[in-house]
Amino acid sequence: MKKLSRRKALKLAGAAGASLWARSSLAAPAVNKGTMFTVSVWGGVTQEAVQAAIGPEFTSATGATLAFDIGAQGPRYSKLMAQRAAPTADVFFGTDEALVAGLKAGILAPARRKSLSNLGEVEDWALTVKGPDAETIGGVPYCLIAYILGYNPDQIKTPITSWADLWRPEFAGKLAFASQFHSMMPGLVIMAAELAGGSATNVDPGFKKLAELRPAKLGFTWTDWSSLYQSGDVIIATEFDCYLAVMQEQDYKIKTVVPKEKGLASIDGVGIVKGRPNIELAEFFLDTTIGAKAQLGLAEHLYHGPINKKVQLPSALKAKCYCGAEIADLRFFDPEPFVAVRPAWTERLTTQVLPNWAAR
Amino acid sequence: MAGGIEAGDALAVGLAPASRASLSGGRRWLGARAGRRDITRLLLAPSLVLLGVFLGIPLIVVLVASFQPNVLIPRDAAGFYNYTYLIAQPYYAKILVRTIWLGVVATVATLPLGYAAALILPCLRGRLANVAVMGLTFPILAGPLVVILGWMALLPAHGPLFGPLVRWGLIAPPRIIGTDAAVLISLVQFMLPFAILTLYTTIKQIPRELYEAAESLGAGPLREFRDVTLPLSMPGILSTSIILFSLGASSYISPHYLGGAADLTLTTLIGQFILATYNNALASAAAILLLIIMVLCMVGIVLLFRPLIRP
Repeated sequence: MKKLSRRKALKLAGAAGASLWARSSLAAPAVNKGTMFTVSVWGGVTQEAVQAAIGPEFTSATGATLAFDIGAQGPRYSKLMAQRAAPTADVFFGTDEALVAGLKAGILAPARRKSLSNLGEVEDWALTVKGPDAETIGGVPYCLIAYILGYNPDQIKTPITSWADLWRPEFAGKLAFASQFHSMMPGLVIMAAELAGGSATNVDPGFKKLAELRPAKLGFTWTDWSSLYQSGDVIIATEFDCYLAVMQEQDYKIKTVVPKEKGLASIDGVGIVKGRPNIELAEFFLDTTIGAKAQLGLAEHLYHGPINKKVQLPSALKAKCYCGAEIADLRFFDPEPFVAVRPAWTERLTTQVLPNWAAR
Repeated sequence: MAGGIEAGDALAVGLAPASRASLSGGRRWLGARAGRRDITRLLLAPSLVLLGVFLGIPLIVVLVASFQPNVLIPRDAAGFYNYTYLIAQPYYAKILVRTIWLGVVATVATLPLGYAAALILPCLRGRLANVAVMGLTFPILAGPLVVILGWMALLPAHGPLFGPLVRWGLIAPPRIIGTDAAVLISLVQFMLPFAILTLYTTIKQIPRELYEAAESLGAGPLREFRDVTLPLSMPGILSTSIILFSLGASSYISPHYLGGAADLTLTTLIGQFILATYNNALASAAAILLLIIMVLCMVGIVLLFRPLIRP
């Protein structure tokens, strides 16, 4: 055996030390027992899923317990803006567009890539929220969901195949559609523009086309229109696939269809709230969220498509979540331009399109 | 007050001793009155401080914010552009008019209903009176959200109210939710207890002797109402109208849950600016406009009713 020189031994010891240090830097930050870590997230099933899929791993590693600030994305974002000087939440769940907007508005802070040991396992298409530099990321994705169509097969005999079917005269006053503030609305404007001969850069025809729709109800989530669906006042709706799966599970007679022009992909994520003391703890929460174990748990609870490459869903669950080859049926948008155009487009929808809709 | 005592001292110069003695008593009286005023002011102070700090300062902040540029109206300096934008855009101008219209219609619809109930309530005795007051004021205890949720369950075309009639083919599916009718119905129901309680207190304070005098002079119930009850309850009608208009025009829950998506009022518009588009400047301008409208309409109500109030 070759004898080890002192210099070589020192080098090896140094390398081992550096390696150990690197490992320890990715370890969970220890905090005082009883520390509360506040998660700003959608309420109901999403809160329950975060608690069940992320909570135990996070708490056992750090000692901190999860507290929740729940609500729709808009009010929670608005609360972060109002509490900018002294925020109460540590991390914020939102669409990738909301995370980009939050970074620009200075209410969210980027995470260091080196603190996210699971980042290498995340699908490339899911990394839509860029950081200000190569060392950071603006926020991590936590799921993929698809905005598609659901309809009552008892009341609609001619199959639905396209977004264009929403304009069929028999659906006037029977359609549940996205509110003008809905996260998918920029995608819907582009879709309508393309149906009317426009494009992503020529959206005027899209606004005109949308003004011709006759929705009965506008909303953000399935519970906004489910009672009208049950009563027969709504027979077709635009909705996220995961919520349509929940409805089917609850015995709603609703058929789902991905329009031939493709469904609209929505990548939701988690960002760190700026101005909170426990940045390392927040980074660990983000890392736990994108880990394979939490991703599987979130898919099981929410029927959300996982963004971690290593996650293998059981076939029954796979049928309910967007993953694998299925993502070819979806259209992905860059959230950055949407942040820029959103205020003007929302104002245009509010003042020019909405008055024509006469929706609830 | 201090000025008043100094004036008293000046008057005392050159008066006879007897007059001075009586003046000394008056001075004690003045002193006691001044003390009472001091106590009154002290008692008022906490409320005034509370209002000043938690209403006055936020109002100033809102006022300042309403002049700031924003993402829709980028400008280099503060100005009135948020106001001109809200007034010039037909969609927003319609919302301003709608807010006033809803407040006025809800007030006009609620006032006679409340007045009729307030007239009957003093005639009830014992347990029946208590039950009636409890029943009429229950919506206040339940809160507007609970009441609105009830309406939302009741009013759909295929809901429990219209559903059977639609199923039996007696009526076409009506659309109530998402219309002004739904908002007005819920507003009237919510505002009614406030009207009844305010008017009941006023009507109950009218002395019985006046009715006895009217009866002894041969007045029937209608004449009693016309010459005694109505004129003497005018101050109550005035204050009730102000309360009702304020409640109607500033209501958020009814128009939000029962109104049409495009049929906003100023309150729901402010809510959208804050919660959906995060446009604080436009929200502030809309809030100040709402405040101005409320004040102007209240002045209008006072001017309308003042000639009818007997001194």
